[in-house]
Amino acid sequence: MRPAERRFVNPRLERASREEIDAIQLARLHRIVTVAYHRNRFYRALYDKAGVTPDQIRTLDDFRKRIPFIDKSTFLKDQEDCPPLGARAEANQDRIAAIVQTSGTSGVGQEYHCLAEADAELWVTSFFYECRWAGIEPGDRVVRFTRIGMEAGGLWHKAAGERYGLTQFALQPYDTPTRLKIMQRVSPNLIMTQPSYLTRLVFACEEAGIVPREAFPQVKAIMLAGEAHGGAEWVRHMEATWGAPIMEWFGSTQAGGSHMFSCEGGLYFDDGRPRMLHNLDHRIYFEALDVETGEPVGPGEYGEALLTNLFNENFPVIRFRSRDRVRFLPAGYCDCGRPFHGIESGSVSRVDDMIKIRGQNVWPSAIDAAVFQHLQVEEYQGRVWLDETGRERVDLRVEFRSGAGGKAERGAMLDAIASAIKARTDISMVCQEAEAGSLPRFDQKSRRWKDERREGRAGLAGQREDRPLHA
Amino acid sequence: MLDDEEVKMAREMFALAQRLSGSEAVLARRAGQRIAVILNDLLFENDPLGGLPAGEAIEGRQR
Repeated sequence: MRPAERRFVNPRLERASREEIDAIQLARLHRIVTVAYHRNRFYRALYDKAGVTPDQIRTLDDFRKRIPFIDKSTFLKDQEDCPPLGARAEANQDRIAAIVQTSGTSGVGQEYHCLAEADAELWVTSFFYECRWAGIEPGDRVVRFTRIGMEAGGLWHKAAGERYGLTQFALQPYDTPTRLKIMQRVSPNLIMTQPSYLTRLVFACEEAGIVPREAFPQVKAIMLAGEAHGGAEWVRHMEATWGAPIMEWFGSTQAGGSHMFSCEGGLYFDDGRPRMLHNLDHRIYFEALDVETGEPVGPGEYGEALLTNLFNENFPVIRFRSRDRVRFLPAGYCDCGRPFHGIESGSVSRVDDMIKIRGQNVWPSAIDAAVFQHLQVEEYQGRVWLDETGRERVDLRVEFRSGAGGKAERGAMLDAIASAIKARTDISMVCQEAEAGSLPRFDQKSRRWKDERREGRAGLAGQREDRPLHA
Repeated sequence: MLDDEEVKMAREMFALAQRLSGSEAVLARRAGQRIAVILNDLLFENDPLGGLPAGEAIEGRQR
């Protein structure tokens, strides 16, 4: 697919030179560091410790070399030391318009992030780019399945859709068959979900005798995020199944929402190369750094995404280590000509071991805690996979120490582990006993988890190629 | 993005909204604040180098 026309939100910026974008970024970085240094106790302490002052930031290189990074643990410690919102939010508590919470439900922890009214406005208007580039216009009907609670994702979808003028159907409370019935009734123009759930919807359609592209003929685009999709073959299959292009977005709660989006060209070039997600460089400063050296990676290389919000002056986020591993692509890679840097479509994975299961961030450390609280447990292995209907499944094989009670006692322990995991993560996992000595042991960093969803999606797509859903 | 006339209009509306946000009546005050925020966003998007139009000197308090 080639973009026939550019759909601009801000033609001036989207046709600017890279030098103009660099100048905007440098000016905004200097401003945000200066504001943080003078008005924010949290950053003042951080920068004093690093021996840096705003007047030392004269180039983008200065910013990278002198400004220390922060990460999730920094925020958590700040909020632990200065509850509930941290010293970072102290000076501007009277300006808080919204509070969001990171989506991690376990392990490392969840922190709060504050938005002033102006931040919330900029946060949701970033969505205009995603919609325009995907061909979605005010008045279009969107279905989405995200929970609306404290997490940024659901709140962002709702607020952003309202501001852009979409007609929204929030289907999170319903089961899949009910969702399909509502989708048939409202005939959506846009579907927003995760890759795994899109696969699940396809199989649910098949079970219900529904042909997606016939039952939902008005779908203009499908927007995906939250996990890596199944690759070119999977995307091609899904686009044929739904009769609509797949788009992708990327962002983080800490950085202030979603800020990288596919353009009109979609996810792949005609020759099969992945396209890119374009970062809104005038709103979020994005760095991709080599984890070992801290140096910027080159075009096509993998690095960790560091994010700086260029407009949030009340509750700054400056050089946040996202722990997201991305493949950096520079402005100019894409034939759309926009001057924004970005990342390769489908390239996002976690630098750390966090696993995203059914939309929830799950850290293995939380599972470790639930399993190893039983001293009779020797080792375990976890596996996330897709069953034949495309549903995400999680299996846990648990190996007990020799002489760890009778069969009934071990069975009760497995039940207790499953309950504890459910309580910690809100994810149901099937726990089974593994034979003594059958699981690997680890001397150093453990590798207890296997994520087989990508292969599962590719395999399922292949199966369906043999037996088309829509003849 | 905005032409000169639109920028002028947005700035005038922004100034009016800021005045309204000083009202003693809650409804008027909130309307003024909300409109000011929307116009603030528009003006920032139009001129990212210019920064948030409501911004004061850094040593002072941002509005």
